[in-house]
Amino acid sequence: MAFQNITEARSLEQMTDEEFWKHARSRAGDASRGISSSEAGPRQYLECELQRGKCFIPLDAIEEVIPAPFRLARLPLMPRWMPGVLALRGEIMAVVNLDEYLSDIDTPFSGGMLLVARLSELTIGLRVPAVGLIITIEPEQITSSLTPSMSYTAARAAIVKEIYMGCPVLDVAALLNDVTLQVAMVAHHA
Amino acid sequence: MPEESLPFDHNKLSSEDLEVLRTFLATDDFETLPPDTDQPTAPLTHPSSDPALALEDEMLTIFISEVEEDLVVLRGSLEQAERDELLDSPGFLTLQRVAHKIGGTAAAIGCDAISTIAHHIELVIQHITTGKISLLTGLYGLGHAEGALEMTLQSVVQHREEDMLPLLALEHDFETLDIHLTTPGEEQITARGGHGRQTGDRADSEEANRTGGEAAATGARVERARATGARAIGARATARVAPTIHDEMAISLPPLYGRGATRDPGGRPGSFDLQHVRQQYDQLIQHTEQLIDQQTALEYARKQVEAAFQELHAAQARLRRIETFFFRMSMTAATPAHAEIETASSSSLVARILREAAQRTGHAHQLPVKTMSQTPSLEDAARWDELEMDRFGETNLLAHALNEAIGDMATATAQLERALAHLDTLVGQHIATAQQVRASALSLRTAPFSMLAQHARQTTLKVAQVYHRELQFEASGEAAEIDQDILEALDAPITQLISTQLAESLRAMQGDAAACRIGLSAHAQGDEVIIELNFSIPMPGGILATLQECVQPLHGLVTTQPGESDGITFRLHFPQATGLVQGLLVRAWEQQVIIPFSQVLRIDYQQQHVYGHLFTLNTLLGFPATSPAPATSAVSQMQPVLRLSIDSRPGMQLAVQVDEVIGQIELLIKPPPIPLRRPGVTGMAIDSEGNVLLVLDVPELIRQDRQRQGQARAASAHHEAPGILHRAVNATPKILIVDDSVTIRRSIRQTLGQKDYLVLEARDGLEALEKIEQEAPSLLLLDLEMPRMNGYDVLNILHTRALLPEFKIALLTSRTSEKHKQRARELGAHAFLTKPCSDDTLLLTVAALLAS
Repeated sequence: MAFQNITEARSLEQMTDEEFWKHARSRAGDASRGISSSEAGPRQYLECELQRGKCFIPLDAIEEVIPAPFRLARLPLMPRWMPGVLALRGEIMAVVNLDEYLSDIDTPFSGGMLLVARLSELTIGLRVPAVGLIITIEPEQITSSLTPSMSYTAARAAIVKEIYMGCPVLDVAALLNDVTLQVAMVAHHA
Repeated sequence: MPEESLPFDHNKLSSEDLEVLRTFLATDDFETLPPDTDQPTAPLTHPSSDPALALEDEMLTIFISEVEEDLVVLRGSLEQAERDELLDSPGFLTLQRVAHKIGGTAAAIGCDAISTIAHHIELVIQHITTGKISLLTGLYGLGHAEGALEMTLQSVVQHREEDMLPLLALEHDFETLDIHLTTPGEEQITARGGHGRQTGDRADSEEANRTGGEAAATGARVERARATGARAIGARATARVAPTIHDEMAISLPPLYGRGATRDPGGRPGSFDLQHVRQQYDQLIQHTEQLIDQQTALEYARKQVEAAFQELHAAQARLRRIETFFFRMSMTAATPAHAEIETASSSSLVARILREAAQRTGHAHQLPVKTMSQTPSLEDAARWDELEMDRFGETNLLAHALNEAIGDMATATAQLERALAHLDTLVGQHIATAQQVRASALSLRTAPFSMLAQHARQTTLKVAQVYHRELQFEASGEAAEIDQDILEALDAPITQLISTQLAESLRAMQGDAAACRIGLSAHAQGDEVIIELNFSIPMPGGILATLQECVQPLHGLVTTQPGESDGITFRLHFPQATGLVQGLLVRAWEQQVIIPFSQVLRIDYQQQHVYGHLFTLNTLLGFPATSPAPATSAVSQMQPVLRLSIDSRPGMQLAVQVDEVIGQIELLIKPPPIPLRRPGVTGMAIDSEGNVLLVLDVPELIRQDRQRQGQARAASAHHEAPGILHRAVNATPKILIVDDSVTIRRSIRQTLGQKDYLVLEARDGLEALEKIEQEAPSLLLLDLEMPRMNGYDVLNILHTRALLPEFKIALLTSRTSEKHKQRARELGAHAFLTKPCSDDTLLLTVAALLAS
């Protein structure tokens, strides 16, 4: 990695783990904004295997991909699709079972991968059974989603606005907002 | 005073007075008094043989007695405020509280003038404390008001009727003093002849007409009353204020921390403070240096362990080589054809040893070839002599080498054991020093409990001097080091409640020579600090709420219990260190959670029959009820029950069953991210294996559970067959009236007596809690202002004990502001009634609540 100057390298060296990750996220965010701003250009997506087919998630919306842990801490008053929380580098992360969230099917939580994404105050891990390749998709290859397919319920229509090769392309920002809202609502209405 | 000599002059009436007259003259039901009447009076009772009127007369007598007692307290408070000459004088708080009580009771019984004067007193205090009027003017006005109250009460005593003149005179005096009493949403006090504040909607047109008529018809008397009353009362008030401006009662204590603070229990100047802090700091430095010094020793010990390991590895290698040779030799012996090759083999260890020996000694000799049967025993090999090497064959040499290698192994193992033991010792010392460093660092945040006790003692002494009473102040645990945050949070409330509430209690007990004891103690229990404050005499209500306000931000807990002879004890529980959670690690279902020690009284491994309620943690958390036993524990093990500390009384204890108590744990607590916050989960901690452990607030989980059950019951009752409702209605409901005023209690009992209710009474919050336990009432009619424990305190405790869903609560109070209603709703009250409350409203509300 080429640093602009030795000072930058030294400042990175002196950072704590927490500061470093914050800085890295900020840099990653800048980079992703750069990508998304070029609307006309192609975009990279991560292919994810679900129980009922594939889905695509914009790569710039994900911070990292880690193996899903076997044990989570369960919280009271949580939606069925949120099996619990775990600690990632000292930070509490809520885990969403993407299969159950999207298509409302009862899937046991075991193995798979976690796609780590962040929405201001909450880090969320989207659990998928497996991840596939990173593919680059041209904007014109993506079509608008009109009707829900068997991959997701009508309640999640706002999360799936686009389709690629018959598979849903997830709007991660909308998904994170919806998850946060629903998690808060469950506690409020309990 | 020759009142008749003062002619009535309309020009002397204020614009407000004239407005009053105009308003009342316009009414249809104008009532005039006989021209020869000396004083305007408001008839209260009509002597009659009618039992209802006789009851009213009896209630009036009780009312008079109550107000006379309150007046004693009110006078004392006023004197204190005058002496203090401070805006935040505790006397004002007491004055306001007593005036409020008088106002509410008077309005309920129809003594509107007394009620209005009392309300004026409250407003004047508000104006003083908010700086709208000067302190001296306010005190002067309060003196007038107290005089007016006395005079009006005197008229009630003598004539069973209220004399309106003192009130009118008071209002005139307020005008003169430029005191304009208004509160948001209210008109100026003189606009309606002083009525309508406390009475509210009860000041109906009839009352207004009557009073208005009196005012209009007796204009001359009003004027005379103002002139004479103002002179008389004013003179008295001046006499009271003047000599007491520089009284010794002004309690000006040094702040606990900051400039002028002292940490010396004996009260020596603040140098001790710095010295003490320096000592603590030096100790921290010393422990930190020890920690650093130990690193060198640890490093050396680690190297010793490494060296011992190397020795051991070398010995192992030698042993392996000999083992290989033995193996090859045994193979040679098994196949004699190879013996010669083996003997001649230059790679043979024995040959190599002999060759090396020959090189050293310069004496080469032929290795005699011996058969296995000629091989000396290992014992012979042990008697090895290098000079007699020719006596020994290859096997002897090998046996000797084996012996040596075994010896080397034993030596190396012993060295390693010694090095490890030394390292263990040093690591132990390092941990101990690290704990000392932590303790020293924490001690920088602490201060001796004596600082708080000293302030409380000084305040008690002052109160004792002022009231000429023997007050015994007993403090214990003064040397205990307490977190400064805790001491700071408690200092003001405790000294304040001694100087205010205790003083008020003493005033109320005038003539009662009973000794009063105040106890203040601190001690550590487990990982908690417990501060206990007890009074041997009845104390006014509101203390619990005050203490809770300062305890809750520090994650503390307040519990109460009745003390000796109507006294009360407050126990304040605090965690010893903030940011750390220390508690029991328990298993619920497949998950480990932490329950802080402060919530647990004890663990029962066999269920007792004393629990008021027994809950299951799995159910409270919404986890599956069936609990698979962990692989490591015996299946037959009894599921432990944790008795919760929120209520330790037998029969009332809340307990929670868990699947397993794993042990104790101390971890850093993290607040959960906002969307993940759940009632009953106060934080999360991460253990050494990276697992997230929930930190629970079990009482809150119980409250939530009960609330859900209550809602479910309500929903199911809604859909139930009418028969169930019918049965509920048919049972005679018990209603508990909680009010310190016997007048109010009698009045409500009389009203409720019209229906088929079983009516119970309690004179304060503490008594109410006892009645709730004994009688399990269906409905509480709860006053807010009460001694020992007020209405908010009762609601708080019921809320804390998760008992609120058990019954309905209607507040019946003269506090009408929205903030009171809001707070009552937040604490779980179901209805809010304003005193005085009409019979119809009361009965309708009670019926509606019981039916809901």
